[in-house]
Amino acid sequence: MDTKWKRFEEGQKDESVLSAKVRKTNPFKAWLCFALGVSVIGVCVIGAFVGLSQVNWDWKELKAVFFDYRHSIPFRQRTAEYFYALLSLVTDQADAPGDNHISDVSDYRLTREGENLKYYAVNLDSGVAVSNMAKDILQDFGEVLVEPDGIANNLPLPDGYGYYWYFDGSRVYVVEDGELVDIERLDSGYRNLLPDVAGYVGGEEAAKSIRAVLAVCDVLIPNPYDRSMYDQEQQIFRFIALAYLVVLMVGVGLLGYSMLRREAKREFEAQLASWLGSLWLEAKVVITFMLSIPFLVTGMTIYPVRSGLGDALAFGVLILVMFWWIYVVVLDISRNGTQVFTNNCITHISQWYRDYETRYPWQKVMIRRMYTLIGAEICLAVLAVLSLVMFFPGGYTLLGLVLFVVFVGFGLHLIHRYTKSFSNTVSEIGLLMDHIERMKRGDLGTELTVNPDSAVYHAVHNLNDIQEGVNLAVSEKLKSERLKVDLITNVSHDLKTPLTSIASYVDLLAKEDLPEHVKDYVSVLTQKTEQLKNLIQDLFDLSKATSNNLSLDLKEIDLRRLIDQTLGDMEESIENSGIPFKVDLPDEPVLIVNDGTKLSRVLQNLFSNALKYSLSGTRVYVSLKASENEAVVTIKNTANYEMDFDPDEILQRFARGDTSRTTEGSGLGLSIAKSYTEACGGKFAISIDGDQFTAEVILPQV
Amino acid sequence: MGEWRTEPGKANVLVVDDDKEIVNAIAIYLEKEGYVPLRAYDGLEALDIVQNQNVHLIILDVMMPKLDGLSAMLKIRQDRNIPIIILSAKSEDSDKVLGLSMGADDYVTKPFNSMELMARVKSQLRRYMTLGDVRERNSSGILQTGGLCFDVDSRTLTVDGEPVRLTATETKIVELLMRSPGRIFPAEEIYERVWEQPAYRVENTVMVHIRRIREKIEINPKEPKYLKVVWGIGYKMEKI
Repeated sequence: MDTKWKRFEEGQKDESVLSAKVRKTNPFKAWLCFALGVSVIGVCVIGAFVGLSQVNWDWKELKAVFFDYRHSIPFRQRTAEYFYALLSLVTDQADAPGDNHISDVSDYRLTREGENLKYYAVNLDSGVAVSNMAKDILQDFGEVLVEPDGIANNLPLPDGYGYYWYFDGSRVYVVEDGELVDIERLDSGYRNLLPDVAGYVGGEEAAKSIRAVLAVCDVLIPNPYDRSMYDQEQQIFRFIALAYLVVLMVGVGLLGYSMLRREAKREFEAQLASWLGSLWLEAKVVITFMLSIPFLVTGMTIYPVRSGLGDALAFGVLILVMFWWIYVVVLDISRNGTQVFTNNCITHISQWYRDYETRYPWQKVMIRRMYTLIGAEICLAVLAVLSLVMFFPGGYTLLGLVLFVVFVGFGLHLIHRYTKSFSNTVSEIGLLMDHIERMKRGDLGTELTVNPDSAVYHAVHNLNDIQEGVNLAVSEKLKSERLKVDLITNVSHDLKTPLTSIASYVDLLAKEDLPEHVKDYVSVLTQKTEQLKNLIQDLFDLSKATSNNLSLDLKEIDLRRLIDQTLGDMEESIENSGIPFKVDLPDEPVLIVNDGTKLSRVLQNLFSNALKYSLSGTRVYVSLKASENEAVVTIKNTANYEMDFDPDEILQRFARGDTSRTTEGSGLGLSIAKSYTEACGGKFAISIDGDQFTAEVILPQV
Repeated sequence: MGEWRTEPGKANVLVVDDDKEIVNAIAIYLEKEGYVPLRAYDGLEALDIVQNQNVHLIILDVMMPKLDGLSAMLKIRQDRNIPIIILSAKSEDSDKVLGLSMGADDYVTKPFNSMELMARVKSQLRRYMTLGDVRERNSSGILQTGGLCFDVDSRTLTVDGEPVRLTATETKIVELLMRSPGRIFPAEEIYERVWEQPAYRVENTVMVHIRRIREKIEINPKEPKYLKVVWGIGYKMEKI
């Protein structure tokens, strides 16, 4: 049961997925609906205009064609055609037997209308008469018609034939539903249908003997024996009207549907636009030109009124295609903006050329560009001269001049472009150099940006990468140094805590009343505890200095004064040691911006080092020399032991020469001096010349 | 409150450290000096004792479990003005400045010297006791910074109430510096105003005098509290 339930659930899930898929309209379909809808409506509008143009822009006439055939232009034209046919029947039968004898001659056009038409025509001279009406009616008719002033609007026609044309020998009368129509009026619709009836039947004299009447049935019906043109035309126009409406409805429906699905439509437009964006501008220009050729050739004179259906169709198709092409162009420009114009074959070729250039070293590329320019200039100069030489003597003066100007102008343009790009390159190289300078000074925060077209783009890109790498390394280093300091602090604390207990209890022990030899032991403990204490503190200071975590308190200080102060502070131990200090200081203050406390520590360490390891009877020489941008403190002393080690070696922590290791001090004095000097931005140097030991502290001056 | 003023030897001193041996050792020193030691092994215990007993001075470690020394000090300082001496393994200047600025009266680094620690305890208690008198006399020619008092009329200097013997030159230097505590005096200025002679190459002379004064007024001359050398610039009396 479980599995069944599961399956049911899965089924539901599938269904929902499916319905989601179905609900999502295909973008192309939505757009196609839109395009078809607009096209159909457009065709309908054009059709309406064409129709209106055919009926002299009279909307009522157009309506009559489709919905009231008996009052429409085609009906009147056809009736006119039949009337002429009727007249010609009695005109041509001049040699027929007379006496108003109804001739059996007829016209197929009249006969095929069947009951729709009733006609009677007679030639009083020849006696020829034609009709399709019953004998009894004709009796009355003959008398009425022959009357010199026939009552044109009161003919004895059968019921149901309220519309008729009547010719009384001089002019035509038209009666619609018992009303006589003034056919001379412009809005009557008959003005040009009957241009010259008298002329048609053989002159005014001959016309005087002719009487004719043509009546049309009120209700046009099909002829069961033949094809009635009236009926057929009426049917055709009704069908066209219906079809027109249906097509229009379909168009509106399609457009409406696409409006409901406009998200999908827009999606397709976006796809279309992105595809269009990838086309070169040249292709679009060529298509536009080709599409406009028909219009250019015919000078916009293709007009469907005077042409056949084929021309009209071609015109419609052309208009539609043109319309959709304009739509596409507008879409392209509105979506892709200036990219439409920049995406042309010139930019593509130059891009391709740049890519090709990147395969070669930068300097080669730059030199090649210069040679290319020179080559192009020479070619253009030759072409310019040739155009003058070739065309001037031949009489094509203007052409020669134009070509000359074109070549010279192009040459100047190339030079202008080259100089511009050259100066750009130079200024960008300048920027690059400035940036390198900034990086050297330690500003790693800003990135240099240049145009991707730039000649130094790759260099800048690489430099930025390097900068990023350096930044990463620096931050990593900072992090590890911070960790180191934490470690140092913790280790120092953990060492000091037990040492505090040891020192305290050793001190308490020393204050007890103890046997003499035990007191000696305790004094050793006291001494060593003190030594350990100093060692731990020195170690801590050194670790902090070497891990670049010494915070500096920068002030403007007088180095001369600092030396004096340090010496004064140590005066007692100097006097007690019996080693005199010879101090040589300049008369002027030596001002530097630095941390006085740290530097006094450096000097203290160096002085006490000199005191500790100087041969008795010798002197310690301290001197201060200030040059333009640095101040140098030199301490020289004569060692009281053989310095058989490297100057570098002595700076290694704990690396005092074995022979000189004594119990006092931590042995870190010089290392601390060096680290502190370097932390203060100075340089620390040691040199050994025989027994002469020299320490130099070089500090940057303001 | 008034009781211990008259009998300072009976002052209750609270020792707070997470290392029991250190607390014991300090307690022994305190007993020897005649104080009554109270013991606490973390910040919370210390707070508890301060709340419930009459504590006159606290020796406080910084790195402790539960509640560290600095936080405990902040809590105590909310309603008490007892002298607090921080006893810490942290020996950086920045640590000292932090501790003092957060309300400590003194800062001693581990491993400590027993004599120095006791001297500082004594100094703090004495100062606390004589504080009122100093304030009363402040208007009539008394220069004062911290526990240091210079009487302009009698030209005598006392440290935490104890008179200090100075030579005539030293007295002049102390008076000069104490008239503008916090100001840095270059050696030349001190020389010209004290010796009243033009100064030439006097740095050493002045420095030697400063060192001697320091030995008389400071508990630990190597880590002076009042008279400080500003290396490469001059000398100053700290403004406390």
